[in-house]
Parts: sequence; structure tokens; C-alpha cells
Amino acid sequence: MAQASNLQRLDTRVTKRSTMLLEQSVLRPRHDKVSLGAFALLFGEIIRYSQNRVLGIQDLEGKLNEIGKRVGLRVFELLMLREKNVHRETRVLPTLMFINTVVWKALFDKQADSLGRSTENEDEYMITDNEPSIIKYISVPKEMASFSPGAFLAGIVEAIAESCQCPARVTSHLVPADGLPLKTVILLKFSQQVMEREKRLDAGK
Amino acid sequence: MVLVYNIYIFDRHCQCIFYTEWNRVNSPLAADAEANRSSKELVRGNQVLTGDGASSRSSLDGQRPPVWPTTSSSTARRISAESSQNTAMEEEAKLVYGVVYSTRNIINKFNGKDSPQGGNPGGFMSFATNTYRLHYYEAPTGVKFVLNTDVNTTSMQPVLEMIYRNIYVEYVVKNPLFTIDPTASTPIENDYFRAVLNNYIREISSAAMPTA
Amino acid sequence: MIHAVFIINRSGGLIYNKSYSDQLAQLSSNEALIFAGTFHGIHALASRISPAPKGTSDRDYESIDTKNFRLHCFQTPTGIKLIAATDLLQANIAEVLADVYKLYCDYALKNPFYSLEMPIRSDMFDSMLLKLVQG
Repeated sequence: MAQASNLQRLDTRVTKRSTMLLEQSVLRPRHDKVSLGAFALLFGEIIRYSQNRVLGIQDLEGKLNEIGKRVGLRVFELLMLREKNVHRETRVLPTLMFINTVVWKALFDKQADSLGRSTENEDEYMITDNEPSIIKYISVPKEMASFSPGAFLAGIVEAIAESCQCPARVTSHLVPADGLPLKTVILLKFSQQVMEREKRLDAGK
Repeated sequence: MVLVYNIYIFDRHCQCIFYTEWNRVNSPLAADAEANRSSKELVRGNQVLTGDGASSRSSLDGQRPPVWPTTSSSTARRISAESSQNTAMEEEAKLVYGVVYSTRNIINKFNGKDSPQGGNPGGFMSFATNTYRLHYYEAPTGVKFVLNTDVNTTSMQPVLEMIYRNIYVEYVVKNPLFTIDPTASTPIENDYFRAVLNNYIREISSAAMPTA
Repeated sequence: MIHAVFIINRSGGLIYNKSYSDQLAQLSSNEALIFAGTFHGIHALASRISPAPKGTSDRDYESIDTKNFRLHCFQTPTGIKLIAATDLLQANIAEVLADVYKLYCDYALKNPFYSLEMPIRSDMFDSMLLKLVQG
């Protein structure tokens, strides 16, 4: 009897409005929050686990980047599924805007704090988050000063840029500012072929 | 309303020279008495210690509270002679001394007045746990008074000073029969002192003290 | 006003020590370690020499009063001791210590570079605690 009703619940979980977080429809997200504490502990454990399996800081960032990519691909898929008018960006600027607003909103419930273009290289763009919540509790020890735990975020961004036909090399940098010890800059360096394509498309207008 | 549990007096040699209790339920004195009774018959003057807490609870109703070291000279001699044989009471007195001694020292450290002579320049007054508050007073001569009360009684400094000045000095030090040996400890076996102390504690217990 | 904050781990080792005023003598690192060990011992003995019947209160809070300052100790259910040295006027220290506990959980325990029972070296913890202490 109990089993039967359980099965029935499984069957109808998408259509019925369930109060259980895990039984909700992926299509219509309700604004349930995930505990930041739980995430921080999990993320901390990911870093610790990775740290035991790498040789240096770059290696560690690479590992986090890789994990971020896996998340990014799935996030992109989900956002496309939820997007009302299916519409995938392929140009550089709209892709950046998409990441800056839609992706950040979906992940962190806020927009990224700024989006800018590097003054030195025209193929480099920067997304800045003053207080990335995923690294809120992390203090990087002095002997690892160059390590940026935002590498995970960079991985997410990299996967999304790639999915939008704008492959880029993405790195993250911790740039502490006054009162913002966790200010993180995510630097996207688009590959040459993307920049050439952009130029051709702009010329053809 | 002050609930006084017990008082310890330590001399300069870190020895407990006097202990008495009121309102105490988990007394090691009772345990000692039990142990003593089973090993040998002890004649204890006019005082009988019972194994249950009834005697200590009713102690404020005119009856004498139990004291340690007892008047029975056998026990008194025992602490000096066979100090290797620890009774529960002795054990507890040592713990109490250890606690106040260490506490006083760390507090002196915080005040940057850590002198090898000891003393209480840091002004350690009391500490409180969930269940009781321990008050500490150290006389300039190194005699230490430790009084345990309920948690809410915050300042017993005047009371301890009063006990030192007007009871200890008057009835113990000024007693010509009290021999102060600079090299060894002498337990206080002075009935008059006990009676006055007992009266004084009974007085402050019943008086409605303004609590902070 | 809070003079200093100490955190002592389960086995009596000092894992955090910060001074916020010069009204108390600065303990050398060795003295601070001795303080932690001694306090740990006093804490353990204080319950053994208790003359009072076992209390029903579940909070584990202790204080030491002296002429010039007061030491407050809050022991978490997991056995970590959070200690604050304050002046005699400081009120609500129990809440402050509860907040210190919260900071410890957030900025020490959730920091992937922190190992349990070891000294806390975390810039975030330092700065958040400073903010808390300065009110």
C-alpha cells in the first residue's frame, strides 16, 4: 500500500506542485534557496580533496576550473530549457551580457558587479564580482597568495562561453579592494578565431 | 539571601588548616566519616558525623556544622604525620588549592605583576561556574580564604575580609594557645573560633543582602 | 570593552589569541600557551570541587572576577572554549561569545585551508572578529 502511493508520487512529481525541494519541476523553478553553509562545506571539501592531488597552485586552479566546466555545461543546458523564447547567443557581447545577467542571476540571485573590456588587449574582457558568495568563508593562506578560489567560477564561465560558440581561455584573479577582501575578477581571453569572426560580422553589417 | 556552602582556610604552606560546611549535599567529609567508622572506632568529642546529608542541611538550625580537621586529636595528627594516606577530604582541599593558586597566577600574569613571592596583586576575587561561585581572599600574610556560595552572590570580599580581620585574627592568632610554627602547618582546633564563624555565616545567610 | 579573545581547543591547546587593548599585559606566545593549559585545567577541576548540587542549566558559562577585569568563558557543546577578557562594565558578553562561536563555525570551519584543532590563521576570521569586538 505504502509502496503504491510512493510510486504514484514519483509518477506525478512533475505535474503536482510539491513542497519538497527535490521533487520540484526543473521547468518552473521556485525560488528555494540552497543553504550557503552546506555549499561552503561541500566546496571547501572539494578544494581540500583537490589540493591533496595536485602539485602546485596552478594545478589546483586547473582542477577547480575543470570541475567548474562540468557545472557550467549543465547550467547552460538548464537555462536554455527554462528560457521562455529559446534564443542562444553567438556573438561575443551578447554572450557576455548573458553570463553577466542571466547566468549570475540563476546561480547567485544577483547580477555580476561589472563587465568591462581590457584596455590593453581587445580580445580580453572582465567580469567582476565584488563578493562571490561561493568563496565567502575562504581565507587564502599567505603561502598560497596567488591562488584564486574563483577558478571554479572561471570554469563555469568558460563552459558557457564555449557553448555560445565563443571559446575563450578564462582565468580568475583575487583582487582585494578596500572593504572587499574577496573581490574577484574573471578574465576571458577569446580565441583568435572568435575575434576574427567578430570583425567579419561587424564589417558585413 | 546568600547560600553559603563551605569555607576553606589555607596557610602559607599550602595546607588546609580549616574547613567547615553548610548546606552541602555531596560532602567528602561524610564519605571520610563512613570510611573511618568502618576501619576503626573514633571518639569525636561531642560531635557525631552522619553519612547522610541530613546533618549538614540542618546545620543552620543551631546545630554545629561538621568541621575538618576534627577536634579528635587522632585525625589532626594524622594529616601531619601520615599525609601520604589521602582521605577524600584532603584530596578535595588539594584540588581547591590548586584551582585558586593557578587562577591567581594567570590573573597576575595578565596584570604583568607576576612576582615570585606570589601574593594577589592581580586582584583575583571570585569565579563562577554554572552551579556555584568561589570567592577568594588572600591576606597579606599569605593566609588564603576560599568561600563557596551560590552563583548570584557576587561580592563576598567584605565578608572574607571581615572573617580574616575580626574572626581569624581575633580568635585564632590572638589565642595564646595557637602555636604558629613557621615551618609547619597547625590546624585550627579552636572551638571559640568555630562558634563565632558559624554565627557570623548564619547571620549573613539570613540577612537579605543586596545582590547586584 | 573587550581586552582580548582566546580560543582553546578540546585538548587545552591555544588555537586563537588576539589582544585588542593595552590595558592588560601582553602575554608572550609561551605565556599564552601556559594560560590556555592552566585555564583548561581549572575548568576541569572547578566542576569536581563543586559543593553545590548538579545544576539544571545547560549553558556552560564561567567567569572569573578580578579587581581590574573579568574573564568570561563559554564552552561549546563540542568542548571548544571561547574566552574573552573584558573590563568590568562590559555587558551581554554571552551574546558576544555566541557570535564568536558563529564566526568560528563560518570562517574557520568552512575555510578549506583550516585543519581542525589547529591554530586559526584566517584573515577573514581576524577582520570579522575585529568588527565584532569593536561593536
